[in-house]
Amino acid sequence: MRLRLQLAALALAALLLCRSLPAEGAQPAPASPSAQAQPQALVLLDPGHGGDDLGVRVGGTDEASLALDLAQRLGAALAAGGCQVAYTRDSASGVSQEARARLANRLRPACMVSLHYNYSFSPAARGWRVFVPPAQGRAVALPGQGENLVLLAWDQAQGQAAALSHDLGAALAAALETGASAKRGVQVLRLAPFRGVTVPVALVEAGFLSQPDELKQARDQAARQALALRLAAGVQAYLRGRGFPGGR
Amino acid sequence: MLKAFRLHPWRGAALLLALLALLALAAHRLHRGHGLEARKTAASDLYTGREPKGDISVYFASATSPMPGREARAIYLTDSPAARAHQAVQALLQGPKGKGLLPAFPEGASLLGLFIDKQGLCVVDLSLKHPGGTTGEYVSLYCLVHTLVDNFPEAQRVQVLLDGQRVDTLAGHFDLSQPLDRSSF
Repeated sequence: MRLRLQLAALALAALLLCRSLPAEGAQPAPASPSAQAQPQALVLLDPGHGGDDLGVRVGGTDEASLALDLAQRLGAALAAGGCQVAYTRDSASGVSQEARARLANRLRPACMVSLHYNYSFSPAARGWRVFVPPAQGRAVALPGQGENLVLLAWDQAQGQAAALSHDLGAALAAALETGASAKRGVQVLRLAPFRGVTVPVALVEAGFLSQPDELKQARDQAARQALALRLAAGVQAYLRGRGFPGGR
Repeated sequence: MLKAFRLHPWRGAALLLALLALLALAAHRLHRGHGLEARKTAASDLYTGREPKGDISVYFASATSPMPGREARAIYLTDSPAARAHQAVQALLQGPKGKGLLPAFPEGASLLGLFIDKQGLCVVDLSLKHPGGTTGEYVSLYCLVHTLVDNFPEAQRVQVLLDGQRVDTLAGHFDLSQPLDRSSF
């Protein structure tokens, strides 16, 4: 009885999700017939926080504003490289995590990149970080629907795209691992911005606002522009690996 | 003679009001006193001070490494695992005593309650305003979960509440919709 109830809840969650997944290894579906001729990668950028939630705040600087600015710079660089770009928020207004996940699942971008700035209690924590979701969760095929319609629990939705998320994170980390920055790779964590997202996703913490020198860098427009170009190179490397022509 | 004790109606009303005010004040003080006493009783319920003491490992942020470090702290070894775990979290929130370690929680963070059920779920009710950041939340939660699961086999998973409420995150990052354990880090 309990199992039946769980299956029913799972089915309801799937109906609410109301989406079908491509078969393993397939390209994301193009948005229109014209796009089918020359598929252009869609990248969804997700500046963290917003609205009343300003994120990390240090000396008059807030994470929400910096993340939005960095996302817009990254979006411009990606658009110049031939990508389509969408945003979960393009103003100071707040957007719930659920709404961000719903947008990602509706748009079905080639990838989603969440942008944040970090905080630490320790002065030893420095530099950027890239986080990706764990590979957990199991899809259940809906009888009679082949492989195109599957049931996913909302909190385990990312399990399907976790391998590609890891590829995306690795590409971003490789692009950031330049100059004096240490090789950090990606860290697998269960973060709220990944909940319910069924497309490849990574979260970048662009620097520690709790460290005076990194706060200075974060406030500097030229430094943010340089960081955006490196992140764009990482996204494009991932897209090239997935066979999208926009990843030049 | 009796007439001498008869009160004017207005004076009687004033006297009655004054008596009522005194009663209200006394009741308020009594209530406040009981409240304090209840809190004192709750705190002293953790231990009597006659139990033997034993060392546990409490985790804190490291001043020299991105990963947390630990410090030995003595607690009263009460019969109740929850009372021992309560002392451990209080030590965590008080911050480290030795050099090389830093607090893992912001100043002003407090423990509102803690219990452990028979399935190994340890529910920790905190009150705090976290500064945020994925790494900041990671370190706070790593120190909390490891302080509990490393020291108390009765606590296998940790569910964090804020001010008595279930929350998605401390400040927008680490997913708290499910209990945390060692594999969460």
